[in-house]
Amino acid sequence: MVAKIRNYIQRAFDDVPKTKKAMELQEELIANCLEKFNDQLRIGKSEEEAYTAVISGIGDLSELTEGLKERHSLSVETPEQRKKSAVLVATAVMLYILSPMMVVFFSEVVNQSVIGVLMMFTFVAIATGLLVYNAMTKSRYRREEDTLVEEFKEWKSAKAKDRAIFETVSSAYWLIVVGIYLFISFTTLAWHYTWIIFIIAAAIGNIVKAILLWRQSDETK
Amino acid sequence: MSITSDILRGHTETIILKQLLISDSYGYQINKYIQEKTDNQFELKEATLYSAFRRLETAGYIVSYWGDETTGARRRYYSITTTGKKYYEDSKKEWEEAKGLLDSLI
Repeated sequence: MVAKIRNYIQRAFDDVPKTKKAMELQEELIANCLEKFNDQLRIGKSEEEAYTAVISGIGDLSELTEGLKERHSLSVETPEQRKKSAVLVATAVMLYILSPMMVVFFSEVVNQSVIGVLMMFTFVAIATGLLVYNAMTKSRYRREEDTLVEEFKEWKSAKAKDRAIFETVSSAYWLIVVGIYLFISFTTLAWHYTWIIFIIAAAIGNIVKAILLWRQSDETK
Repeated sequence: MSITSDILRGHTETIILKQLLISDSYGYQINKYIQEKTDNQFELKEATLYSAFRRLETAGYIVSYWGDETTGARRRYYSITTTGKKYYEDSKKEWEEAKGLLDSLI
């Protein structure tokens, strides 16, 4: 009988994505129904009667499971989340842009080039941290609702072409950056500054990537 | 009886919050309490009860945590939040008003 109750509830969750939320709800339901079943036995009902009482008491589970399926369409970013994410990205970009200026400022104005370099790396670290935080809070939000398998399938089919394009463009981009670096270095002979080009290039690359990804996620909505 | 249960169902969330106001509790215990209080005349369907939990949780009126039962299956307990308490007071006030109106009409 216990297995029958368990089965009854599990069947109701058959076509629900196997998310943590759904599994926990299922566990909660089973635990509570079994407790009710045992209570029914304790007051002297037969197993058959207790089973009927439990099952009829459950009611229409589809109103619960439908909610779990719908979640996906409900989980569109709210304006506040969007705003928060925009602030994070904007701050990160600002820090990236300001970071090389620290080197110039400290070495030229204060004559403390070491502090300048340290400041630059601190800025870069904070900016990267912000971007990572932004990306992680977002992706967790989505993954919770979707099953990993579905997400992977979708990603694999849709992104294969995009990735190929992205990789080609990216390698061309870095070749151009190396070219620019060598050209400027040889013409100005300011080798101790020109390496900053790589950092700026990385920042620009990431910004472009972020903009592209943002557009893409807008389109898929 | 169907009118009665319709009215009761409309106040599922307030009924649950009222229970949680007394102490943290879990699904079956709340339902059992409702049964006892109503002299076995009324019992929430599990589906209704857990849908209400999800709604209350999403709204931030309750939070849930897993108990650490040493025997048997673990239980999910619910606890009322400060905003939940406020919501309960508001709902209760609303109900008092509705009750007054109905009394003067019926």
